[in-house]
Amino acid sequence: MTKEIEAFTAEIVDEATQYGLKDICEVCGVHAERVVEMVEAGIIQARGDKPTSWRFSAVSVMRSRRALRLQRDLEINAPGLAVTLELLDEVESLRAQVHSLTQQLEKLQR
Amino acid sequence: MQFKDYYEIMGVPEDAAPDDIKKAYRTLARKHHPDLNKDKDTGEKFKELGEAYEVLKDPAKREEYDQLRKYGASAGGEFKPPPGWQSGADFSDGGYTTADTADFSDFFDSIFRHGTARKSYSTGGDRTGARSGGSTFAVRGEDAHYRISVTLAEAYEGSTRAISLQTHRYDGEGHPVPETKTLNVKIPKGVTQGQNIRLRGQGGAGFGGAPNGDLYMEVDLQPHALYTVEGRDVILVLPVTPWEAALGSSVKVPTLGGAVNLTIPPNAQSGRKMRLKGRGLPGTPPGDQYVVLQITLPPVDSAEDRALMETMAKQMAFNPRTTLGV
Repeated sequence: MTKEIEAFTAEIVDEATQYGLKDICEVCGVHAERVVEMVEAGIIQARGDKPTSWRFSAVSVMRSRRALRLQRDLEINAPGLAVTLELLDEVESLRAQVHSLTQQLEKLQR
Repeated sequence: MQFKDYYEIMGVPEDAAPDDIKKAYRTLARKHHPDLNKDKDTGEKFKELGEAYEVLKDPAKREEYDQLRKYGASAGGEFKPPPGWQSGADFSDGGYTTADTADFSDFFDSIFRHGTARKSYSTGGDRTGARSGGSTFAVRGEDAHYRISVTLAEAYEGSTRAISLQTHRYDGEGHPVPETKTLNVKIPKGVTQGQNIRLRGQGGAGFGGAPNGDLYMEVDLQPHALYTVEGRDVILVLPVTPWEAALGSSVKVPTLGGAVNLTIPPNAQSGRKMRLKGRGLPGTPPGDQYVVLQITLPPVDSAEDRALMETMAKQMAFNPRTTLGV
């Protein structure tokens, strides 16, 4: 079955879009305690000094969804998740660097 | 329907102990988890693995499956459940499962969801989190993840494009129904390599009145003939003549937004990096364009060219190798 739907504007997932604690709980389908746990473990960053005034970026929301999937599928605890996500970030940034440098090198050798 | 050998998928013998099955699952899950691996087929492999584990970890389901497996093996690859088959596992109506069973195979459905409404599902989080009372559940849909290939020109200007995706919705009885959706997606300008763009509510269907998941698309920038991209910055290797670099000059440089003039200072060396502020991909703040000078020698063909070079060799006492100690 094919269904045609009209043009949707995609939003860039970046630091600009902000969510409150309630929003992030809804999007992730978890209780606030789980979000507090993720913030305390350093898995995601919250702006603001107390949970009621916390603001999360769209990047943090995506990150917490990812963290929860990993926790569900691989049974990783919070500190383990923090390490895993940090290493994944590093792998991604190194990959991007290698990609960019390889391309620059190709252009210099032409 | 294809018979699925869950033991083969998990790489364990038929008589594997529960602990070995768990161990095998963990090892393979790390290897094929889509959040840990960027390979295209990890998603499919992981789903298959989840399905196999869902059955083999549960003694009741495993026993049923073992019975069917004997039957299936004799049917020679093509599988049909025996006539009148009905799963006895407390699974098809109301039981929780730890995996997202909506994506499980027809084979799985034919065994464990025979004729009963499907009421088991999960989210990425607390399984009880979205419980809204008694036996009614409302669960937000899963997020869908895709990759989207974008040219640099599209990233600079933005673009609209039709995207087909495989998804599922739930029918009145709670069965997942596969569906192909075509979306016209407006890709905003300024996207860059590895960045995610999101369409709200276009992921997996929510259950019991809960909202749909989101659709995430990870941007893959296609390589460009001239530019290399780093975040929002673009890098251009600019060939210049020895005299343009030595004397200083103003040269025309292409940028994503059209040609501009770049002033090269006197005595510029090869590899020198110069910045054209704000000439990269748009954003807040916009990226810059970096120009890397590459001094390019003219071919020396004629007697006149040769004479010029010889004059330079005679008049300019220059040894670029003094730092090499030879």
